[in-house]
Amino acid sequence: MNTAYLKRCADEDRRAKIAAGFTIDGMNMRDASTGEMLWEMNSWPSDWHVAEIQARVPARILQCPVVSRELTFSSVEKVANLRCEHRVYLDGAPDPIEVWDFDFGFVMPGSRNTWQTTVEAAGGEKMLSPTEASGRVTVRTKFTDGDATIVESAVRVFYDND
Amino acid sequence: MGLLSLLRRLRKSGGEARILILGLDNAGKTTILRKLSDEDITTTTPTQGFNIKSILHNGFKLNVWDIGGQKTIRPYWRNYYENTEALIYVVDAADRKRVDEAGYELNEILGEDKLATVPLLVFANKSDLLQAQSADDIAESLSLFNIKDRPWQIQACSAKDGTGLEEGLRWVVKQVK
Ligand SMILES: Nc1nc2c(ncn2[C@@H]2O[C@H](COP(=O)(O)OP(=O)(O)O)[C@@H](O)[C@H]2O)c(=O)[nH]1
Ligand SMILES: [Mg+2]
Repeated sequence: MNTAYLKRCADEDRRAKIAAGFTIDGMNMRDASTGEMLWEMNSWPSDWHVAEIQARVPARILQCPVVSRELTFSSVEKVANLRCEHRVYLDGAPDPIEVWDFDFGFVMPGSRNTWQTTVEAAGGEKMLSPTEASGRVTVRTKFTDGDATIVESAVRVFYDND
Repeated sequence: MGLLSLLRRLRKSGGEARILILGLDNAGKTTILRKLSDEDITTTTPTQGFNIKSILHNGFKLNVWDIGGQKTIRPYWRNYYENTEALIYVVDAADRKRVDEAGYELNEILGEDKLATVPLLVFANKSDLLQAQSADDIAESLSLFNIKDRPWQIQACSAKDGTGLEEGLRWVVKQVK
């Protein structure tokens, strides 16, 4: 018997089980200096794994000195070592303008969790006017357990003049 | 005044710190965390896992973990002890019936190897309520005066109106090396 092969199967089994019970429940963005909610989305299309989600955000978000992003996710299964890679891209260029990795570690079975990040640095998109930036910014979020990907999501941001 | 401006004053660059907020369910942990970012506090629902805020400033990353306090969740607390720089324990000072339970859980936490010597701030929360006990009474009930192995501090506060939060947090940030 090939034990390495068996272990791979067990790992893939476990990963598939985690993925099946893992959902992103919502996302929001706030002006971090005032706590004001600028954008929120509390239901996700059922095909969010495959499709790009479009977010229409008020243009004044580009004027906010600091923006925080919050993600709510649920897991039916326990996850031993959850990790998240967060990348912001402009025009689908290979190099992200913002990189943010986070180790959650342990995730309780049957839990609902929120993760809010506040990055105090002007992102590359801040250089652009709302009309220039609109539709050109994508936020990619990838959750992994160890080195196995659980889910990945992509949100394309449009800036609406209010 | 919030977490963000406090961090700006910290003038730290590089590195990462983790602050853990624990306490019984309904003590006010999530409300405190929200209030510290000036967010709307009218809609907290019982936490079924963890809420994390990560704030990056000057390359310094502050991670604050608020973990659910229901009985069924408490056995998982220990999964989050590693690398903790400071512990904030929140007590509902107005709930006299549960002070003993709060004391019992705190005692368990303080006995954990991974949290040995970690500085402890106790928030005696809900001080806006008439029936709330004073910080001194809570300190007595929780036997804080017997703690010898770490710096500790108790602070009365109200997550509802914000009283006391800044003072408490300032102490915590000072402990973060
Ligand atoms: N009057 C008063 N109510 C509070 C205060 N802090 C929290 N609460 C309320 O206590 C309940 C539990 O708060 P929550 O933050 O969800 O507690 P957690 O379970 O520890 O996260 C909520 O109804 C809050 O509105 C406070 O300082 N004063
Ligand atoms: Mg809570």
